[in-house]
Amino acid sequence: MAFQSRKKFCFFKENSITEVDYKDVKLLKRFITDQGKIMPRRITGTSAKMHRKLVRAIKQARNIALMPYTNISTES
Amino acid sequence: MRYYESLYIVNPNYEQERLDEVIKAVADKSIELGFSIINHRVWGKKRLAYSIEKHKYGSFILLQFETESITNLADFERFMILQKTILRNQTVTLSVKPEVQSEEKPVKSVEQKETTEDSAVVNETKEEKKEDSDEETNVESEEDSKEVPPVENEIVVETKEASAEDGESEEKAELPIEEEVAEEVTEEVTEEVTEEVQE
Repeated sequence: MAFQSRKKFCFFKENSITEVDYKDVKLLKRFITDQGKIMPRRITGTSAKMHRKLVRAIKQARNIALMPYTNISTES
Repeated sequence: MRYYESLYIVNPNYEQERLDEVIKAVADKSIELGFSIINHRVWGKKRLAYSIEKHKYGSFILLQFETESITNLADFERFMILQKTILRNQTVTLSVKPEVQSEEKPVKSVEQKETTEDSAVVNETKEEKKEDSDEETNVESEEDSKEVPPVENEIVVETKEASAEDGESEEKAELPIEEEVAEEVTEEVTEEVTEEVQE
């Protein structure tokens, strides 16, 4: 029997979100990996329009130190 | 009219008075450049995702304003960069006019909660750094170990009492059975005796 993957959907479309705020870190953290990288839209399923806004918001949040550029620890 | 939002981080070690001075300086400069301020409030003291100038925490201040001229934005950006008290700033455009937030009480409560959380985190880190923390934990563990036996004793006592009660209850339960048996025996004996007498 063939493996059936879960159907992807746009999180923002489902929740009727039109603008992404860079201060909403709780929302943005859903779309980054444990390393802090931005997840591709082929995995998250977000629409191209909202993914562009999301990427901009994440980069703004990184610039103002609300989100990390990377989670790899440099102390060790 | 275009709407802008500037979020800047101030040194977290500053007291409220010095923080107010920084906020006032930024407000004066923005008015001088012809901006009309919509909101200017302290967002709170937050932990930074990465350290800036060896600071792990920062006081975030949010400034929302509107202006027509774009040329003054560069001057404002330069002013913000030259301020030594401001660790970092970022100005972004807003598509919609922001709502004026006049209520200060809920903001303060949120800030207090955040500060308490931060202070709790700081206290935890300090406790971890302290060498006495191990001794305290040992003492606490000893106290816990001391506290545990009385509970066991209580349980034991309770179990003993329960067992005693059970014994009594068993005796009480046994008594009626014996009485019933005795009554049955006496009834049988009386019936036999009456039959013999009749014969």
